[in-house]
Amino acid sequence: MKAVNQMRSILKKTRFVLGAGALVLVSSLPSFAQNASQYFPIAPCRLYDSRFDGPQTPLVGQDTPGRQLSIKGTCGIPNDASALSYNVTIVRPTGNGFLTMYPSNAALPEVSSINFKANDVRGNGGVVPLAPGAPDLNVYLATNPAAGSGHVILDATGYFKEVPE
Amino acid sequence: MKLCWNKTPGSVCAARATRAPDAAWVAMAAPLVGLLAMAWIFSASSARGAEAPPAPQTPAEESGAVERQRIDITLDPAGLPEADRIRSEERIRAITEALESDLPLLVSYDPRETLGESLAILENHGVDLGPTAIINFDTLSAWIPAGRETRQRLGELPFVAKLRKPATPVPAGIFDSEGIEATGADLAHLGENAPPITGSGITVAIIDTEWEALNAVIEDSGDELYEIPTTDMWFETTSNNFFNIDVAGQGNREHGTAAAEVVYEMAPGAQIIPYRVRDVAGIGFAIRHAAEQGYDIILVALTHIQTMQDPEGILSGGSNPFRDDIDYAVALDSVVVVPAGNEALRHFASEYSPCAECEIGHPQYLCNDADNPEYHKFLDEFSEQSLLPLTFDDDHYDAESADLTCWSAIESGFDETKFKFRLHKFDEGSDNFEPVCAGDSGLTNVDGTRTNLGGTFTKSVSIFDNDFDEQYYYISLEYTGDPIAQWPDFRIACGTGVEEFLFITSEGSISDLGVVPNALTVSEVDAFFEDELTETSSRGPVPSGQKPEIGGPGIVENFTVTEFDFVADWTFNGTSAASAHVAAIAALLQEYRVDNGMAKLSPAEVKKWLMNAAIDIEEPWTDDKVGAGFVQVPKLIYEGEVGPLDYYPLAAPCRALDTRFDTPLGGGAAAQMQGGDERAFIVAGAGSACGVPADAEAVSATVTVVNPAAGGFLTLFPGDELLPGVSSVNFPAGGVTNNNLFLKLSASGTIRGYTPTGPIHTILDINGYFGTSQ
Repeated sequence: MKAVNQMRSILKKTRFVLGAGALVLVSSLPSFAQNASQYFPIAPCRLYDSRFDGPQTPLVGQDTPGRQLSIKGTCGIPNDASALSYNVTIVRPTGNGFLTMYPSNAALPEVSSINFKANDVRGNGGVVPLAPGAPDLNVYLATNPAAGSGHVILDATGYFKEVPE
Repeated sequence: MKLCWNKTPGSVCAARATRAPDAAWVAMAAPLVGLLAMAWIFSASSARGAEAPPAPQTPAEESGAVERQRIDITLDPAGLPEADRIRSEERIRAITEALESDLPLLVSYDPRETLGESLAILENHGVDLGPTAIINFDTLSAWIPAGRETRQRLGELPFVAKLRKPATPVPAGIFDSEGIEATGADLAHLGENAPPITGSGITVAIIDTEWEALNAVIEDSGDELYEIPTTDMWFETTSNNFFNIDVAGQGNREHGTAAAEVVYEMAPGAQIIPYRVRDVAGIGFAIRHAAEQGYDIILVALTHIQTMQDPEGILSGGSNPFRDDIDYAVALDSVVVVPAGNEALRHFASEYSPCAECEIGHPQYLCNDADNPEYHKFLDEFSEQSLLPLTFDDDHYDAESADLTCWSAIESGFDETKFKFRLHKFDEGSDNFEPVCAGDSGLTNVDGTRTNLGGTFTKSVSIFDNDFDEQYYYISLEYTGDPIAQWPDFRIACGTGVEEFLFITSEGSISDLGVVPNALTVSEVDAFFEDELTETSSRGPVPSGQKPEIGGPGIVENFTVTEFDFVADWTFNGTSAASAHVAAIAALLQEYRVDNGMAKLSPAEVKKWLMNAAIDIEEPWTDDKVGAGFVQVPKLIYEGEVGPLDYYPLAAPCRALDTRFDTPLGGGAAAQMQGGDERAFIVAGAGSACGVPADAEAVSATVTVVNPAAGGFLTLFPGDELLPGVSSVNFPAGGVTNNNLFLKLSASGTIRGYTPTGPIHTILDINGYFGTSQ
């Protein structure tokens, strides 16, 4: 029984910890505690829809750094949010390709948030760190052939932020 | 039947004190011949003695250039100009006689004609007798130019007995409704985690028949009461041909005041606009007027039985007396909240049926009446009620008699003059309690009068028999025409306004207001137990769609003014009380929207959100008794930031939902979500397939859509919230598409799915959940 309780205790301390652009699930060791972020769910909420928001233009493939968004302050996401849990949807891109979502204060990383084929309408959920201040999130589109285009929809499902112990 | 036209002490309305377990009734009265649309309006949250102070009305604010004030004027009949006095006496005598007989009411009392000379004099003295004036036999309520001088002049007129400033405040009780906590309104008020929500900036019009004043209570009681802020009371009178009838001798009561108290306690920041109506036409008029003023919520805390949700009335769009009014208000974005009604125990509906099977000695049927060889029975499944038994509960009475009113409706297309119903009294001298076909002497006609089905009658009945036991009554039916192949549906409801009877047929007993599709129709849930529909709450089904939508708290202890003494019955019961709570919650929702920079919700959205957030009781999911469940203030509006949460992985990923195989829908094609479907799925708490605990706030999940017929999307959202404009997974036709998501859960651990295109099968796999740090 004691072992079970210990296990439970460890499980309860398990949490998401955000590393440099990657999400890892670890036990909350003291050395990580300072930077640990915790989760705050929200009702799903549309943050961005390139079809209707701003210039209402699709994203352009290989256009660095991509579309720069300021999502904090919308959908109830606070200014001290450290990461976003989202569902991103690509809408009818002109070619095969991928989207990369990354914090605005970072260099474009070699990762993909969703891969797609031409003319897809498909989504993928994930978590992405947010840059402090604004803009806080870049959405980069890569297409083949290059310089294609596609619309992007971004829905929030929650956020992470650092909580003082 | 007594007429009550004088509210002053010592009037003819010496009412006994009664307690009333239910909400307002409004019913069309007896068969009328053309001239007069007389209506009874009676309600029954409480009753009290005759010494009712005048209705509360606030003095006028600045109105144009001339400052005005509202005043109540009591006329002295003896001082009236000769012609007015004679006319008045004649009319009142004729009306009284008509009401005491069973003759159709052919006389009307139009005060503008009867009191023509007196009114002209009053107008010359500046009394505004326009549409906002109430003239009710010898009492008037009207605007006059403000100032002592006018009042003095009026007071010197020989036919003015008394001038009185209407009471302004409506005192709120020292008890607050249990509905506040039961629905979570206290958490919204508190603003612990989010800004307080009290209904501030939202307007709630309350349409009722009874607004009694309460300054006398304040003076006499010594109790400290606070006031419910209301606007100037706006009086409505679409017709001067109304009566202030003291139904069943119950005196004047305060049903609307009680409803206002509930709204005030539940949404103390909302602005309350009381409307007083006097007849059925006035209800529709007031609904339209309130909508035109842009009031956000319109609470019509009344019920009305005329068609009694007669299917033809709804489907043809023809005869429901309120549908157009409510549609009009909803089109102007007013949320119209109405009670389902309290008719479940005093309602009978069936198909009229001939008495072909009747046998001598059969205990269930009354067939062989010497006067009426063609008595007929009800259908066999209702055989125990083949004669509708009416039994008074003597607990509710401290009088020996009451006026029993029975309303009825019959399917259109039948000759209602051939279908009669009438009241029988069981003779306590007989040992034979069950009526039998032949030789039964236990029943005697109360007065021998038959009424057409579709009509209404009122009889004075004794509550007790000679042994001081409860007196039994029965309703019987008879058909006097030639045999016909098809028999009509019909309905009967009987009550004294304060009494319930034995079970009859509760299904399909929703009132004419409650049956209107665009209304938000509220059933009554016991506020103490929160999971029980009260036995009196009217219920569906209705042919026009889901009714009722939601259950509100009833039997609440909030009512300030009962019988002036603070010791009688504090409770406000019935679907009126329930709907007052729901109206207030609608106000909270709208304030939340405005405070957060969003557009106010449409009436349909308010309805949807409240249904989504309700606690499911009675039948699983939405049913015809309570609707979606017991109303809750949606948690979203007061919970603020949810978290911080920790992630708790499951021992292994787990399938929480698979519509291909899962019960309760049994899997297979029938369990697919259809286009436009919104369906809730249990993810956490009791019923969770994956053991996710009840306090989980969110889950980490993979959602999969299997073999959809067409391309589209699925939206997953917390089960107690409103469908957001997002997608959770987009899919092409055919194949299997999935997505990984974190999904927030409802307060009860549900996720709701919506797809605009279907059919689709949905799978939800969970790898862990998010919960508060332990």
